[in-house]
Amino acid sequence: MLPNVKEFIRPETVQEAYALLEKNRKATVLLAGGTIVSQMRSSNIETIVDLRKTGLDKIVQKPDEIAAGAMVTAEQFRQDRLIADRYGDFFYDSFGLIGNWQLRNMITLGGSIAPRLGWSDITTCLMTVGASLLVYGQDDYQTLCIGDYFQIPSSERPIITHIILPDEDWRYAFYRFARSAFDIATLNMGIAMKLNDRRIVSSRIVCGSRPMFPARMESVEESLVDLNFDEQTPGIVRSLVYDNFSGGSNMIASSEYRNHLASVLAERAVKKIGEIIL
Amino acid sequence: MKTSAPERERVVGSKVTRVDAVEKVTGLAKYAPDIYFDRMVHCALVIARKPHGILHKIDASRAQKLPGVFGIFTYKDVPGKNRLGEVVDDMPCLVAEGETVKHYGDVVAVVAASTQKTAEEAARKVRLTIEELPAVLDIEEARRDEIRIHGSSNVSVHKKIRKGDVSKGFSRADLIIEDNFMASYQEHAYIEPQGVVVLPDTDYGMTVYGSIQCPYYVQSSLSKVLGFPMSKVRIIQAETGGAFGGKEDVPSFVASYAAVAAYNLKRPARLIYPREIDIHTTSKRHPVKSRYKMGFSKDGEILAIEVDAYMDMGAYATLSPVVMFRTLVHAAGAYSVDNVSVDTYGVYTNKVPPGAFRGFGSPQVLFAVESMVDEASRRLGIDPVDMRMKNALREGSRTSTDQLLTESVGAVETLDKVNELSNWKELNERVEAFNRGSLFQKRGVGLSHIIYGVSLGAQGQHIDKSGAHVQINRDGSVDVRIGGTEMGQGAKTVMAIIAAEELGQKLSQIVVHQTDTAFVPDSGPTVASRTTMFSGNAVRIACKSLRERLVKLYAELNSCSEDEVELHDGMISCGQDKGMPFDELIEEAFKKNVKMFEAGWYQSPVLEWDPESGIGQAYITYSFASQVVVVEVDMITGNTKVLEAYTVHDVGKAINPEGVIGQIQGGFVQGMGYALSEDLKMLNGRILTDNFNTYIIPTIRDIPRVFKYGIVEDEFSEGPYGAKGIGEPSLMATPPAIANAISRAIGRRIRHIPATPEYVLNVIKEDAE
Repeated sequence: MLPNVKEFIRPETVQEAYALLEKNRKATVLLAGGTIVSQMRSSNIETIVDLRKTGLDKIVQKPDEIAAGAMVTAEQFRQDRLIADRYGDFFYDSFGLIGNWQLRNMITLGGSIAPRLGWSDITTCLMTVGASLLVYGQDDYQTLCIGDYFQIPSSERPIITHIILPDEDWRYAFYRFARSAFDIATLNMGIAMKLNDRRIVSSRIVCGSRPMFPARMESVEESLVDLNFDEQTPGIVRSLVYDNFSGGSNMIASSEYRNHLASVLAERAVKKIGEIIL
Repeated sequence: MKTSAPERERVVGSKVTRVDAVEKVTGLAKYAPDIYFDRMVHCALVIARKPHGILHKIDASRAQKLPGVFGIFTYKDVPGKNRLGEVVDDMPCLVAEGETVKHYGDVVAVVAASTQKTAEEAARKVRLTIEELPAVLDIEEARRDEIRIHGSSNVSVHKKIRKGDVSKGFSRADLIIEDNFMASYQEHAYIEPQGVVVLPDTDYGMTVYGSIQCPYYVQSSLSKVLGFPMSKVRIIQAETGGAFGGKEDVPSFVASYAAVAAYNLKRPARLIYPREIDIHTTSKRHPVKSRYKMGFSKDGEILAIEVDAYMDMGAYATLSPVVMFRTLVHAAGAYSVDNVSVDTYGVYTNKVPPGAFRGFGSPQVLFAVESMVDEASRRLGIDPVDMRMKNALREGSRTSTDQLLTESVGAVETLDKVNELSNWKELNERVEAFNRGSLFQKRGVGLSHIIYGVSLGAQGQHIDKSGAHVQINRDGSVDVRIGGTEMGQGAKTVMAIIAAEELGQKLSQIVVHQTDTAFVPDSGPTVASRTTMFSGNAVRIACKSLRERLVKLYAELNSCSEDEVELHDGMISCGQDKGMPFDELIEEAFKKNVKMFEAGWYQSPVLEWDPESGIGQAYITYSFASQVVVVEVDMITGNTKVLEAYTVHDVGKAINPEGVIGQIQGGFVQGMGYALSEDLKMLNGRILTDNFNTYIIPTIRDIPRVFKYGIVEDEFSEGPYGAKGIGEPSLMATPPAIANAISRAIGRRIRHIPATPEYVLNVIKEDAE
């Protein structure tokens, strides 16, 4: 509940929205899909800035990338033709595991990343495909990787305007584990692999809901370089992920169980990639 | 006079639309938060937020300065007795300075303000000085009695059954199994949290509107707290959005807090719990830790059973002693056993006091006893259905309390029917075939067979009665008032069906009103799956008297025999005559000053019971159920999916079959949550999972794709049209069926519910190591 809200403003440009945010960051909240803001409890918030009219709800093909506006909803993204052409069923299947239709029609891409939710399946999936962020702030527009965005102090953090998806020919798989179909993930895991014939050229191993913010497991990625992808690979990845997991306990699960889950989901994700390429 | 007409369709047993459906779906129905009165104040509670300690000081000075705060009320402002508790009044209404707080949710003060926001803000500003004491946080710690919460021992309640000689039974046994089980908390998760509006009324007393399961409990409690005679306390039940036992005694507490504010301010006071306060302060299903020892012959006969069960009562006993009676009687399961020894104990801890919850202390032990029977069938190589069939209760059998069953024992029929419904043999073969081809996903078939004692039983027979008032208006419309309550379970529809059946009026012309203590005398609580039987019988009795008068009148008007008169669907006729609309006959009755209202009263038959030995007639009758569940367990993550469910219930008679089906479905899903995902987490006596983002109840995406049900109608002569009860048994068969299915799937015994993925994985790993 935000009991002290006095203003609800719907700017028509990102610049205008940023200016409103800058006026008093501590007392202002940006509204994207509404699923987070509706659950907020703060007596400090006096202004809600609704980004609905800022034109950030489109997905467009650029020369070497796809740019998805921050206000694109999870369901819109899931059903988009450009996304399907580029990523096959990856996003359709992965985002289909999130909540229900109603929720996916509210959740936005930018609204999922910006609050730095540890359990966001959307963030894990976007990191898996190597997405970066186009942001607008005091330095005008700039492109940042998702991790770097959160290195900026929250008092200066720019507005996410687009999610930039690289034009690359990788293989992707995503798994989540939750206590019920509607629950947030106990742990989620996205894996992407670039292969030359069967040689692993590069990979992204992204683990979310650890319960901390999703993170790439770079030491695992390095160990996989130049490995030949065969029937042994899922087991190898499972062991590597198990040994290199970094996570914690909360009321949903213990650190030990998450460690186990991370290795199991990683193995399953690699197996799924194997089903595509082998 | 014809009492029924086989040639025409009866209302009883037919498919009807819920009588309250339109109002609930369109939002016309008025729940407590929808009720508003002029000058009404909004209340919020100040709770201890410490598990155990001495309350030295309540400092409300900062809170009182907030604009809009009308009053902050403490124990000093309680006009009557500062005690609460329906069965044991060991709970303060508001904890006094100098006394101990005994759990995190103990209520210390009530804040009344102009808005909800101000009340909550003021509540946060009330400073409590509490000297913390070491807290007792589990059953074992409580049993050691190193820290005592009340009186001389934390183990304050003990009940027992001694039937036959268990040592003789064990000496004859070919197989003896011993095991320990733990069934944890379950939160009611009713969709509408607790809430009341209390107002000083025109009779110079107090009237309460609220989300209430047992209005007479609230009336009694308020009378004590306010120091008013009961005649000055009126309770009107608002529409109630689910209760499941959670609104049995708790609304007495909620209304008492609001009443203290209303009394002192002489203004209407509204207290609606936020979900978090609801979860922190109100009752749950009791955690029960049990030890079982059972002896079997090699052909599967149960020769002896010995049980010790410890129930965590939390900080206050409240309803626990009567919950424990049901635990006691159900501990030995749905079987005919000659040698039974059961001991149940209630222990105090510094945690939220559990209370009534669908099944009332029996699901915890039915999970355990059904796990034991399943394990025995596995070890003896006997088919689980055959094993149950061999020991099942039949007419002429005696229960664990040595009660002779003389009628309406549908146990065997539920087993037969679930066997047929699930295609048991083929189902097992199908699952075995799947398992042969799957390394990491394993399926299991679980069976459960349960018993449920209908109504309050021997220990509650002094309050096991119900009244009803039925009035036919001049236009033929009918007012029905009952002492039981509608809380979503469909009681109004059942009462309307009974009235329509007996009076011959159209169902659409029957109005079953919200329960109001001013109209119907104390009818006991709406619990124990007793409403259809008790309120239903009361309505039927009242309607029968009215019907007799209508038949007599019609026969006189038409010069025909009373035996030939028939009432049905808004028409009254005699033989082959053209008949008369019901409302025209009522017009005639009014012209002739025929009495067109009647009271009905039904009370429990007397039950003989010896509390010393636990031998006797525990309940007036029993419902039975059998259930088959298929699960798939991910052997690598421990995750369980329920794939198929087959459930058969002996309900005596399904007066409203659609309602029975709804109960069967809802009870199954709630039982599934209890068995698998509803994991109430605590830290130092504080509940961490205080909303539904962390306390995980099943959703529509978790329910099995195959769900088949069957209804057995083995009629009970005391029940209206033979009906017994379905509200609670609908849940009770599910936890053991799921636990047994997981055990069969993983080849290891599940001894704890909820069987979360992490727990199941640990069972798989521990036994493998």
